[in-house]
Amino acid sequence: MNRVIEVAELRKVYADGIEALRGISFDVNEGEFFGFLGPNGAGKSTTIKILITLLGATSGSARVFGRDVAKHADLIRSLIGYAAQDVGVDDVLTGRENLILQGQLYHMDKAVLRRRTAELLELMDLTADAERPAGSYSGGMRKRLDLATGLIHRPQLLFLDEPTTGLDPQNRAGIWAHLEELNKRDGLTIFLTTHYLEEADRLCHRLAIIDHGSIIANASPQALKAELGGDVISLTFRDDGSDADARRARATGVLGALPFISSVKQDDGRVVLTAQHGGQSLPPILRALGDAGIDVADLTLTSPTLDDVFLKYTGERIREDAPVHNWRNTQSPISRVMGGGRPKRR
Amino acid sequence: MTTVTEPDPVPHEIASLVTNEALPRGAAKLASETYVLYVRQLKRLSRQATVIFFSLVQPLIWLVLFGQMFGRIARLPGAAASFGNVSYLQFFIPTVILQSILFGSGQSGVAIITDIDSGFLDKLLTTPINRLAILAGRLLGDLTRITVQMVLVVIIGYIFGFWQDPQISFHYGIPGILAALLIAMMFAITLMALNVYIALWTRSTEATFIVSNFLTLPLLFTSSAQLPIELLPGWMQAIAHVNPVTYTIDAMRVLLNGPDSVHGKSAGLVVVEALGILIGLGSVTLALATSRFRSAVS
Repeated sequence: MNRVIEVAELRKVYADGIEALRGISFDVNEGEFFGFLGPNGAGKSTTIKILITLLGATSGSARVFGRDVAKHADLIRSLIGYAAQDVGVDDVLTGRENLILQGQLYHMDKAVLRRRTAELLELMDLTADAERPAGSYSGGMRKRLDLATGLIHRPQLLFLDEPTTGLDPQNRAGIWAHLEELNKRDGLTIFLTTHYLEEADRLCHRLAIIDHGSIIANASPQALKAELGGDVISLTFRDDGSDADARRARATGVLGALPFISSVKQDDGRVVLTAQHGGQSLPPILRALGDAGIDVADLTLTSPTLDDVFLKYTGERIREDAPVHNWRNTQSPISRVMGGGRPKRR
Repeated sequence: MTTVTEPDPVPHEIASLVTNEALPRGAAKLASETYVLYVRQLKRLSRQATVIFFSLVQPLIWLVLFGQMFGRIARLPGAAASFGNVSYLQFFIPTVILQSILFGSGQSGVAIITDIDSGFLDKLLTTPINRLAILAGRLLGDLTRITVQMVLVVIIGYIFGFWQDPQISFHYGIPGILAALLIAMMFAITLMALNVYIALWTRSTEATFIVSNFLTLPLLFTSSAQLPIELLPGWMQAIAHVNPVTYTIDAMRVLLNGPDSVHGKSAGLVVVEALGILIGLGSVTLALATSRFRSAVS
């Protein structure tokens, strides 16, 4: 399988001394939907800016389609598409004009560009609104138009930097469906950064979890969750007049003897166990407890989430409020004094 | 709307693009990309009715208000010669043109910040575009807007001039007007580039406006824009003699109103001085803006 992205020991230290990337390494294969999951400020955007040739690395190597991003920037730019959290469309131009403008900057043939524009407007359900200014579009429509502009030249690799941030659940699901279609139907390789667990879980074939500039895990979402030991089953028991602690201890002993149970522990008045294929495990669990004369009062079955994975590796839940490094500019002294300056990029 | 139903409508063309062979090279690439972004600017301008309205009406209001307010000054005993023996309105036409440039050129810087903040610049930068095309397209678009303003001021000024005493007459006719507008365009480019530099330095639309206005008004009032230089207080005259606005406006007056507009220098010298100063200053501000822009996008 061809590798379209190869990153080795990549470091980025900004002028203000902040070390955004601490020597990360990973590969992305052709046709893969690869995710970079991490909280705000983890280093996701810095990585993507380096890969799309907008930012230089301090050390290490980053190659796209086998070419060094620093040495072959123009070639790489003609091969990749990009859509970010900030919608990069011109609000005064119409949807169609935005697409044509973007295509003209790739020097696409006029007839080809006209056809491709129509095709993308159709794909993104924007044909009916193609002649309206982009500024009059809803948030979801603007995002779809932005995605379409990143696809105008039929890139072989699409970079998406937090593409659904700020969208409502319905529009987010719509964007996901489009991305899945592009990946499955067209075989488009997609590199996605996100801090949404559900997004990473649903879309990505493989995930790198990044925190504080380091990759702490890299595997498929299923494999990452499987590392946690399976589904979690939590039980409480009906009072039968016996001592509650003794009852829980007896249940723990019964459940611990079952071969498909990975672990059993008592936690805050409950018995909590992990089991592969939790749904299938429930009947034998209930049967074993019934045979031992223990009645179950309450039972919950939960599958592990990527948040649990993040918790396992970092000791904390994924956070969404960390500061973000303002990668492109550091404000000038006069701007800081005046309280001006562009908002921080997230 | 027709839908493209063919399974893979653009493989060959894109394949050639992918190999990077379809891209034009060097100056042709820069010119083509600059043109694309210039057209974007014109489309944006043509659809922003408020911008068009105020860009065109504001200089006309200045022309009417200032022309009326100071109209009698040019007719005061002994003052007529200082004004070049023309009506104040005619004296004031180059001033309105420069005021439009001074106040309108800030837009160049602000628009670049807006493109950065909106994410549009990043979108452009992920294409194989020559980075200078972004700056050139912006400056040419704004120059077009300002040139339309200038032409309108000359036309309206000429029409108002029928009711003036003496009536407006352009000394060198159409060639003189075109030459004066060329000088004004050089001044506009100089100032737009300065504003781009300020904007990229401050990274803030608010700060750009404040710094730009901080420079604009003193430049205007310590020059021969409002009054002939000999009618200014002594200390202002000293500043006016080193103010590039004075040299620009004097050259425009000579080209529009004739050689009597400026005293103590030949018309040729006035124009040559202005050209020299504007070429020098323009080169500096363009170099500063380009350098700042290059570092901002690299």
